[in-house]
Order: sequence, then C-alpha cells, then structure tokens
Amino acid sequence: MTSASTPAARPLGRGLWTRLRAVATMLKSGGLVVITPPGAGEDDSADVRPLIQFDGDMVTSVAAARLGDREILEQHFARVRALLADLDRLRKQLLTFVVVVILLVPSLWSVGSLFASAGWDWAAICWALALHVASSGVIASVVVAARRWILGRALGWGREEFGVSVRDRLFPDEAARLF
Amino acid sequence: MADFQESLRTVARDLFNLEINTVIKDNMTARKMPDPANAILDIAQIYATKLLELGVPLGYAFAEGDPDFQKPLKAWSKEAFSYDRLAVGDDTFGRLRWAAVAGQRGLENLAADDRIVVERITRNCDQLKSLLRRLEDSLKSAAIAGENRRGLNEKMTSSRSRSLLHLDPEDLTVLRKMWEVGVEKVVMQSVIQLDGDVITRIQRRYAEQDQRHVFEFHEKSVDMSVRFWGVMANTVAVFLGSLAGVFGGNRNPTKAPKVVVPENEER
Repeated sequence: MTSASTPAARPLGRGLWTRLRAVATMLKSGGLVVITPPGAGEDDSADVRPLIQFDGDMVTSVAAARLGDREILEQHFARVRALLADLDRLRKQLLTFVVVVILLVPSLWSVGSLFASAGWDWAAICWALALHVASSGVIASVVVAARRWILGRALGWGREEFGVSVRDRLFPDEAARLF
Repeated sequence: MADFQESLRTVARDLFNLEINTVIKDNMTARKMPDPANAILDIAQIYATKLLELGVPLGYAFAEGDPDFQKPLKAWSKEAFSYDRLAVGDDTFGRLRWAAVAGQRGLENLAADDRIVVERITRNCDQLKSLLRRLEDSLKSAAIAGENRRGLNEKMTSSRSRSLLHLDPEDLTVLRKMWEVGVEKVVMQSVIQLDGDVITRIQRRYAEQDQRHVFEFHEKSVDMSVRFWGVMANTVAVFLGSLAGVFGGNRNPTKAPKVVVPENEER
C-alpha cells in the first residue's frame, strides 16, 4: 500500500488530498497493509505482510524463509513505524482543522453579538461585513477547486496533466482563468 | 445511518481489546483483498480446499437438496465436488459449517493444529452466515445473491468494476481478518486488554530457545499494534477533550489528556 524508501519519507504521500485519499483507501479495505518488499506487485511473492485493523488488532504474516533475516525485518518495521508516524501527523492536522471549524467559526460569529449587546452597532456591522467577505473568499476558493476537479475528471486527466499540458492547447482562456 | 453509527461504536469498543497474531507462511503474495463479494467467495474457496485436504467429502455436503449432516462422516457419499457450487449466500456457509462440524467429529487422527483450523472454519462460517442473512436485501438489490465466481465476475464486468457489495466498518473489519488469516496456523497470539491483562499463546514448538527470532518478530508486531492503538486512542481523547473543554469552559479546548506512545525507540 505504501512505497516509502526511507523511514523519513511521508508514506501517505504529499498534499492533503492525496493523504486523505490514502486513508480513505485504507478505510475501504478494512485496515492498513504494508507489504515488504515495497512496490511488490499483486502476484509477486511477499516477505512480510502485516494487517493492522482499525480496532487495533493485527495479523502479521511472515515468509518462513525470511524469519531469521534481521535486516529485512528491521527495514520492514521501520516502514511500518514511518507509516504510523505519518498517520499520526495527518490525524493532528485533521483534528486541528475540525476543532477550528467546530469551535472557532461559531466563536467568530458570536463576537458580533457581543459588540451588538454592548451597544457598539457600528463595530457589529463592520465585524459581520468582514466575516462575510472572508467566508465568500473561502466559498469562492472551494467552488474554483471543485470546478477544476470536475473538469479534470470529465476530461479524464489528472490535475497536474490538465494544468501543465492541456491548458495551452485546448481552451487557453478558460485554463488561464482557472490556473 | 443508525447501523453505521452502531458499527463505528463497535469498532471503538474493540479498541479496548487488542489481538496480535503472528502467522508463518511458506509462501505468500502481495495480493490485495478484492471487493467484499469476491472476498467472501475467496474465504469459501479456502475453507472448502482445506476441508477437502483433510478428507471431508464436500461433494456430499454440496449435493442438490438437503443432505443429512447428522450421518457419520464415513457414511457420506464420495461424489465429486465442484467449486462452482460455492456462492455468495448463507447456504454455502451453512453447508461448509456442517461439513467442518462433521470433520471435527469424524476425522480420525486430526492433528491438533488442524483441529484448531477446523474449529475456526466452523466459527467463521457461523459469523458469515449471519452476516449474509443480514445483507440479504443488499445482495438481492445488487443481483449477486446466490452467484458463484463466474456469475460474480460477469456482474463485476457490467458494473465497471465498482464494488457490488458495501459493508459497514465492523463487518468489513471482520471479513478482512477472516480473509487475511484464512486457514493459516497462528504460531503466536497476544491479547492485550485495557484493564492491563495480557495473554500470550504460543504454539509449543515455537516456545523453544532456538525460536528466539520468532519471539522478537512477534514482540515487534505487538509494539506496532500498541503504537497504532495510541494513534487511535489519541484521536478519541483529543476529540472528547475538545468537547469537554467547550462545555467545561476550558480556554484551550484542543489540549486533551494525552495517551503516551513510545516514539521510534529501538528495542
């Protein structure tokens, strides 16, 4: 599932979207599997194949021939540790995001009510306007990102291909506006 | 939705109980688990192969009609068995279950290892039977109820390889484990409970001094499982801590009780 060459790498990939997709794939398959050797194909033989499930249970299968090979096993467990560390990083990022959305956004709106209750109507109006502009910016970014994603999917290209090779050839005006 | 929530709750409850299994195989591949419907058929196929290997005449168990499973194993007719008889449905696992029970009772000189595997087949077939009964409506709406591998592959082609069967997290976790373990012999197993109890089971022949590398391997697996548990437990702790902070007036709600997990130390 992952192909990190060194323990320091980010086994889930780079970019939040890629990382979230990696986790979604794990969720859909009922657990994490880190196969050694990395990059082994479906029919290639595997040395170690642990399954870590989301309830914490683990099933580790090891090839009898590799059981005494300390180097391979060390490398394998280093990769699993790197994956878990990366998963932990992603968890922290997501929790921060959730906490900000759940806690901070309503708090921002409630500041306006505080101004109003204190009799500072002008401050409440300014605050509401500022929030409106900020939230419009966020919504606009989401709409643009969604549109770019839908166009990319509809044309059957990945975002990067779409951005680099297609924008100048097919519809430069539209592409220039989007990218 | 309520089922999904209950299923998530069950997965969370299972966090209180870690089970770490180590399996040694002569050969294995990097094959991923297929979609749930094919995984169910994979499990049926693996169980059938094992029972045939042990000498259970599956042709009788899968004969048309309603075979008498109370008959002693020796009296079962030796008709040919076809894997095409294995289908996505509770009937397949009901027949496999009875064949396994008959094997436990009737197979003479069944090795201790194999007896455990046959018991596992019986237990898992029971679970799969009840799972498939619960999913009866989903199987019918996906038009895969009672389909064998060939039928399923045709449906998969027409569905453009979209998954035909969707399972909730709890069922997927159970299915995944059954698929992964199959009929392999578990050489070491550790069960860690939240109250601090740790139970480790070791197959007698791996308990010798010269099998130290197996111990080390299992120990590292336990370490990984505990680390992962730490990640999951931290998620729950931070989330609950945040909520407690909101309702309790904590100024810094993101600070929650932290579950300490050892970081990257080498043993």
